[in-house]
Amino acid sequence: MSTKSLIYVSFLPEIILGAFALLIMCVDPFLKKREKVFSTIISIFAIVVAFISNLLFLSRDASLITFNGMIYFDFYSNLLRGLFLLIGFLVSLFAFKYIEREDLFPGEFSSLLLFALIGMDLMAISANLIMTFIGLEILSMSTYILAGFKRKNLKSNESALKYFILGGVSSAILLYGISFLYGFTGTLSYRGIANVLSKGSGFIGSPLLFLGMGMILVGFGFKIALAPFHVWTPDVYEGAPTVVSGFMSVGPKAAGYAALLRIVFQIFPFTLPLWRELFVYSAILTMLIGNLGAIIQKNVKRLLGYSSIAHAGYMLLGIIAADVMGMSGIIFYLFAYLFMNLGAFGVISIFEGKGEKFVTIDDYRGIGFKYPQLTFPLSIFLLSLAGIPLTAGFVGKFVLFGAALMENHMGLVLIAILASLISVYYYLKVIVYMFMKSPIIEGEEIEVRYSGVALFSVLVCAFFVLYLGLFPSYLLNLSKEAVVFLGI
Amino acid sequence: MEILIYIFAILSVLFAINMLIQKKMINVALSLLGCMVSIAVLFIYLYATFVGMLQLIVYAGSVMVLFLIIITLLDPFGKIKYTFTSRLWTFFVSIIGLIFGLLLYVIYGSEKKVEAINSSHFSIKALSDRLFTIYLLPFEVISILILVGIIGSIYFGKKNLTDGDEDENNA
Repeated sequence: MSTKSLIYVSFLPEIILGAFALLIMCVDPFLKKREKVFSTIISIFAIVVAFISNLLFLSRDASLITFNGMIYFDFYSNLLRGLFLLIGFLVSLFAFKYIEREDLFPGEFSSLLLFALIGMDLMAISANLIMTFIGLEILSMSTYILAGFKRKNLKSNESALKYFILGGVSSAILLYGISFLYGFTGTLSYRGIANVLSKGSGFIGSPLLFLGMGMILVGFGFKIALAPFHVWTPDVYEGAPTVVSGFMSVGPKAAGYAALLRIVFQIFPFTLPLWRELFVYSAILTMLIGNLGAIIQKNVKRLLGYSSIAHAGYMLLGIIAADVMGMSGIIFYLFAYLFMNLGAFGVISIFEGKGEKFVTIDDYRGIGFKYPQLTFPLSIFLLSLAGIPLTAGFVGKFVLFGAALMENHMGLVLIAILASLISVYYYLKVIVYMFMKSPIIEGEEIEVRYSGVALFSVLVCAFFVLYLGLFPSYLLNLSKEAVVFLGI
Repeated sequence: MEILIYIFAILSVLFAINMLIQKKMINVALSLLGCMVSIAVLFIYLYATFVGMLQLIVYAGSVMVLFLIIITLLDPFGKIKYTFTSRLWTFFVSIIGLIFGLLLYVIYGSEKKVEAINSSHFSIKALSDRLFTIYLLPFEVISILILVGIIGSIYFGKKNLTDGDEDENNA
């Protein structure tokens, strides 16, 4: 393949997504109200085409930098891009009927979702800090709008405004950190900075470098909801439209981790001992706050918000371990988390009914055997989130905790196990309410209406949660193959 | 000439502080304008003429005009006033002091001093060279960011987002 075509091939999925997003914006105004579904169909088609083009042009043996040193073309990019496209695919499927039920606008939703996917892709494939920042901004800007997508709902407005203001501050801090690094090294590319840093040992202990890297960590810590930068999470998840909350819990988190892994291991491999301590404290805080906060929640969306904080903490164990097993554990966990959390949010979006009325745990009383086709998958998702064997969540935690244990982080792993034991309580509480409690007023269970598309996507998620729990080796091997490109 | 840089540096800080303590919105905006202009002078003094001019045109010019338009639209008679409690003040001053102290410590504490970049980097030719070669992709991708921003502002700003269909039904 010539270098010129290689440039386009390495960026092809993003081009496809962008082109289809523009197409949706051109087509949507001419559609009548009942034809609006067509926009969602275009977006699903775009994601499938981008996925196929990603599969066609894999780069399994070489790591190339294209577009004048702006993006990486390697298997890590390919695998993470596949993950993001899967997220987009499942979110669009869940949104299919949800948007119609809530009387929202499919055209805007689909195009914003595609733009958010482009931003996530850019974060994972970027080889230059300025590129990473622009990717992050595209993703954040789209999610701010999506969070406030119910324009007439006060809670949705509050959620969007909170996310926007806090997100703006965190982006500013991130950019400030990047400017420190630029002033320090005179370059913005990952390789360039790593080269400068590897030259002299005097660089490593410099407070300027420490401050720059610290600010970058704060910026990413906000996106992936690490304590102490997690405060926005429960409020934003509660107020945002449920499908969007599902997207926010997996999308920005996965993209943030993808970029953070690249930055930590490609720019700062030598300074990792300096950061490990910080990561350890943040991981402990994140796991405890997430799990303890979730116990007292009555609202299921808030509960999953706190649980998503806790899961960000578990994944941090992989960075602390800093070996191939830990890294591949993070990528495996991102996949597992995608299926189980998106599935859980999908079922919640079905149960809540028009106008998101039924979102407390009490509303779930006694529906267990009435809608087994939905409650059994939900139980699988919750058990997987709790880390019960035979599910994907168990394998993910097993790999992450095992990696941390091998690097002699005994205390940390004990705390992590304790934290996941706490989490069993609140996940099981939902299951107990569904199957063993009767409704407060007899015969007054919630009425559930669902479409075939939503049921199909719930079942797909449940299937993959079980599949990854029983046969994890294929994905684990792929993740191992991918993280080799991080140069560990 | 040396004295000019100190004058404008102090001016920019004073304008910034004034921006925080002013009670009327229009005064806040004008203080921001003063701050922007002083920083532009600093850029020009550092031979970054192009960046200085951009600062003047973009920030002091167009962004300020936008601010003023929004102020006149929202609050034409200057009725909105800010109140600052002393607790809020202590909070802000302590945070700013903390960050400022940290920066001073970092800049004077590091062994490697930051060197001034060769001023030839700042010429328009050099800038456009880089913008359209190395930084072409980020430059183009920013258009997506702006597009998303436009979608958002239209989505939130428009009063009624109805389809042609519905209007017919209503009429």
